[in-house]
Amino acid sequence: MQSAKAKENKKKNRQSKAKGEGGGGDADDFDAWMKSRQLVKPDDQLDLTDAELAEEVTKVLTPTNTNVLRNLVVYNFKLGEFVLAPIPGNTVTLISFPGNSLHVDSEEARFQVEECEEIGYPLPMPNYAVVEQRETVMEGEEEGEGEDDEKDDAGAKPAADAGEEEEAEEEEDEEGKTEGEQATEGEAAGEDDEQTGARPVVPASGKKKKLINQFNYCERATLTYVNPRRNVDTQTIPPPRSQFGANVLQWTIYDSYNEDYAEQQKAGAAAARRPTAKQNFKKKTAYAEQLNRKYMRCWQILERMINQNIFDDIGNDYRYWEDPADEYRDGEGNLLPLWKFQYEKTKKMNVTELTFNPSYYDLFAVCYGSHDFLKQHNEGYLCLFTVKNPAYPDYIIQTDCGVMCCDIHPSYPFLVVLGLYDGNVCVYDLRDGCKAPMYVSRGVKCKHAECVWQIKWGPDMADGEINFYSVSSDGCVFSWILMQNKLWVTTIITLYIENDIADGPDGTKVLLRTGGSCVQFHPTNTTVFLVGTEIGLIYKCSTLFSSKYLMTYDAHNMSVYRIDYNRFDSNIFVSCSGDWRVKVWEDMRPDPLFIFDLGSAVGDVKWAPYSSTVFAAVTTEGKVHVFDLNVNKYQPICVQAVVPKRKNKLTRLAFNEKLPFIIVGDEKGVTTSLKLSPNLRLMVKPPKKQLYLDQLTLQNAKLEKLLSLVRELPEGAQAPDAATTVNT
Amino acid sequence: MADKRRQSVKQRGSIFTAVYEGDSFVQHFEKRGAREIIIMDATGKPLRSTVSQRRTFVYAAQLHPLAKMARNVVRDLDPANDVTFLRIRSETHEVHMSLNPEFIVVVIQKLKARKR
Repeated sequence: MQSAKAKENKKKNRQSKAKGEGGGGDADDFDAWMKSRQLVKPDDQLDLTDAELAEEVTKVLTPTNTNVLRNLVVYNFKLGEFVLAPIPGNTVTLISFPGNSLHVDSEEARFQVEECEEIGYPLPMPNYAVVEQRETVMEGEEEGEGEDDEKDDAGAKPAADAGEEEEAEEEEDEEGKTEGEQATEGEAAGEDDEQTGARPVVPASGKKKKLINQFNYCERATLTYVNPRRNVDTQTIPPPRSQFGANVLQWTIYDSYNEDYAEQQKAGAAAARRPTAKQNFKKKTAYAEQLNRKYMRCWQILERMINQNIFDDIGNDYRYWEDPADEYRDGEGNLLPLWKFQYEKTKKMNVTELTFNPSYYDLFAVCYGSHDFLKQHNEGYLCLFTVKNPAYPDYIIQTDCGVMCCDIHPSYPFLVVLGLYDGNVCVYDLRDGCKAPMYVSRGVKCKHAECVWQIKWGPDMADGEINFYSVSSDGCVFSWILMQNKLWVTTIITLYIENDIADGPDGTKVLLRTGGSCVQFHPTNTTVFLVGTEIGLIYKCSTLFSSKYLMTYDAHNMSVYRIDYNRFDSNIFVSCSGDWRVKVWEDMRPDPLFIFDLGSAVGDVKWAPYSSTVFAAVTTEGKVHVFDLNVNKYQPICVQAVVPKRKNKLTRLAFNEKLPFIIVGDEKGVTTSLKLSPNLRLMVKPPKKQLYLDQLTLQNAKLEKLLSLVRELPEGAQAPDAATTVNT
Repeated sequence: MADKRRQSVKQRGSIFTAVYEGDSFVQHFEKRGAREIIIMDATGKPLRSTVSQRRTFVYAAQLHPLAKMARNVVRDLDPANDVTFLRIRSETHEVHMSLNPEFIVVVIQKLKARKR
C-alpha cells in the first residue's frame, strides 16, 4: 500500500492526474480536466533512470520532534566537565489544569471510599467490586437496599450468572419495589445455590452502607391503627368566692408593722398571765377612762374652735387692731374693750385678785370672793381663764370660803396657792383636777387670824423646798414651807407700829399692830420686801430679822392696796390706797417722787412690763387711768370708764406680759379685757449713733432722765449729764 | 361626763342613732350657734346625734369619706402622723370635725351673717 502511495505521490508532483486515477470511475470530469494538461517538467529536476524511479523509498513518520535541541550541555560539578544534558521529552504541555476528580481506581479514591462509608451517592464500582457487592448481598446483609446495585449489577455483570432470571428481574425491578424485593429474595435464593460454585475473593473492605437519596432510596412506612379519642369532662363545685378590695397605703403598712411589733413586745414581756375576769374588768374601765379623757380633750378643742368663730372679730382685734386715731391724738390713748370673761356661778362675787400665769401668757387666774365684811359668801372660786376660750374657764377651783388672793408659781405653772377670807391658805395642783387641795392649812396656829390679803411664792429654799409668804390683817407675815404632808409656818415679821405704845388693860404697855394689806418682794434681792399696812404706812423689811424695819414710808392715810416695783428700775415703786392717791417712790427716799389724785379709791396699780414709765390704775368709779410719766408728769394719758359708774366698781388690774392688753376685774364677777392703744405703749427709739441698745437700757435711761428732773438732789451734788436723748 | 352620756340616751324609735341631749356641752353650745352635733365611731356609723335621723345619715355618709381621704393624705406622707381636725367653712356654716382613732365628733356651727 505504501509503495503505491509513494508512487502516487511522486506522480502527483509531476502529474496531477494521480487523484483522478485514485478516484475511480466517478471522477470522469476530473480526469478529463486532468488529461488536458500536459506534463510539465521543471528544468532543474533530477534525471533519474527508471530503475531508480522504481526504487522504493520508505518514508517513515516519527513523532520525533526535530526542533528539539540535542546537544544541550550542562556543567557537571562532580566530574568537572561538561556533560550532555538529558534530552527533554517530546511532550509539549499545552494546558495544565488542576482538577478535583479522582479516578475511581486510583489509590486515593479507594482510600476515600473506605474512609467514608456514608457517601450519599453511589460510586460506580469497578468490576471486581461489583462482584463483591453481589457476594455480600448473597450473604444476606442487606435486603432492600442492595437492590439498586443489583439492578446495575444485573446490567453489568457477565452473562455467566443466572442470566434470564436477572434480566427478568431487571424489568421487574424497574417497575415496583415490592416485587423487586421478592425478586431479590428469589435471586438471593437462586444465587445461594450458585454460591458454592463461583466464589470470588472478597476483599476485606468493611461494610458498605447504602446511602439514600431520591434516586436510590425507598421508604416503607405503615400506619398503625389509631384508637379513637373521647373526651370526658367533670366539673367540681367551685370554691366559694368573694370579692375583696382594699386600699393599701403607706400608713396601712406602717400600722400593721406597729401592731406586729406590739404583739411581739407583749409576747416577749408577759409570759403566761391568764387575765382573770377582774383584770379584764379593770382593763375595760381603764380603757373607758382613757376614752373619756380623749373625748373631753376633743371637746375642749372643739369648743375653742367654735368660740373662735363666734368671737372672730374680737380675736382679730386683740391681735391686730391698732387704733389709727392715735396718730392724731398726741399724748392721749384709749382702751379697746375685747372679751368679757365670766363664770355663771360667780355672778354675785367680787373679783379679788387677777394674776397672769408666768409660763403661759394667755392663762390668767381670777379670784372670786367678797370684799364686804358683812356679806360673805359661803364659797369662793378660783377660775383660770384662757384667752383662747372666752366662754368658760379652763380650770375651776371651788373653796368654801371667799378667795382673797392667789399666786402661781413661776417655775411650776400648775402650783397655785390661795389665801382665803378665813385666814387659811391652800395649795392646789392644777394637773390633778381641782377637787382637793394638795395642802391646806389646818389648826389654830397654822393659819392667819384674819383674812389673807396677799400671798406670794418665794424662791426655793436651799433644800429645794417650795415656800410662799402671806400677809394678813392680823399683822403677821407668815412664811410657809411645803413639807412632805403639811405646811410649816413661820412668822417672818409682826407688824408692830413703832413708837406707838398704848396702854394695855392691865397697865402694861402693848405694842400696837397693824394689819398688812399687801406685800411685794424686791425683784432682785429676795430677802427684802415691802409691806403695806392698813394705816397707810409702808415698811421695808427683811426676812432675815424680824424686829426692825429697814425703812418706813409714810405713804397714805388709808390702807395701802397695792405696791408694785418698777420692772426696769427696782428702786422705784408705786403704791395706791383708798385715799384716792397713787404715789411713786424711790427707795430710801422718804418723800414720794410723784403723787397723783385719781378722784376715788384706787383699787389697784401696776407698772407696765414694756415700759419703765407707764403704769395703770383702777378706781372704784369704774375708770381705768393710764399714766406715762415720760409724756405727761401730771395727768394721765388715758382715763376710760369701763363699767358703769354707779352700779359697778373696778377692783383689780393686771397687765399681760407679752401682749398689749390688760384685764380688769369688777365687783360683779366680770373680767374685762382691754387693748392698749399705741399711744399708751410708746417705745423708745434708740439714738442714731447707738442703734444696738436694747429696750432695757433705753427704758432705764429714759427713767433716769425723768427722775433727774424730779428728784431733789442732795446738797452739793450736781445732776449728771445724760448722754442719751429720749424721744417720745 | 360619760355617765351622763350613758344615762340620758333616748331611743326615738329608730335603730341606730340616739337622741343626744345628755352632755352639758350640747346646751352650752346651743347658745353659741352650734346646734348640730353628731358623734360617729371610727367606721363612720353615727352613734349620737342632735339632728334628725335622715340628716344625720346624710352628714355621716358624706363626711366620713372626707375624713378618710384627709387621713390618707396626712398619713401617706408620714405614717407616724395623723390628722386631728378638719374644718370646712361655707358661707353660712362651719363644720368642725374632731378625728380620733376611736371616734369622730362633728359640730356644725351657724356663722354670724357677715357684712361685706
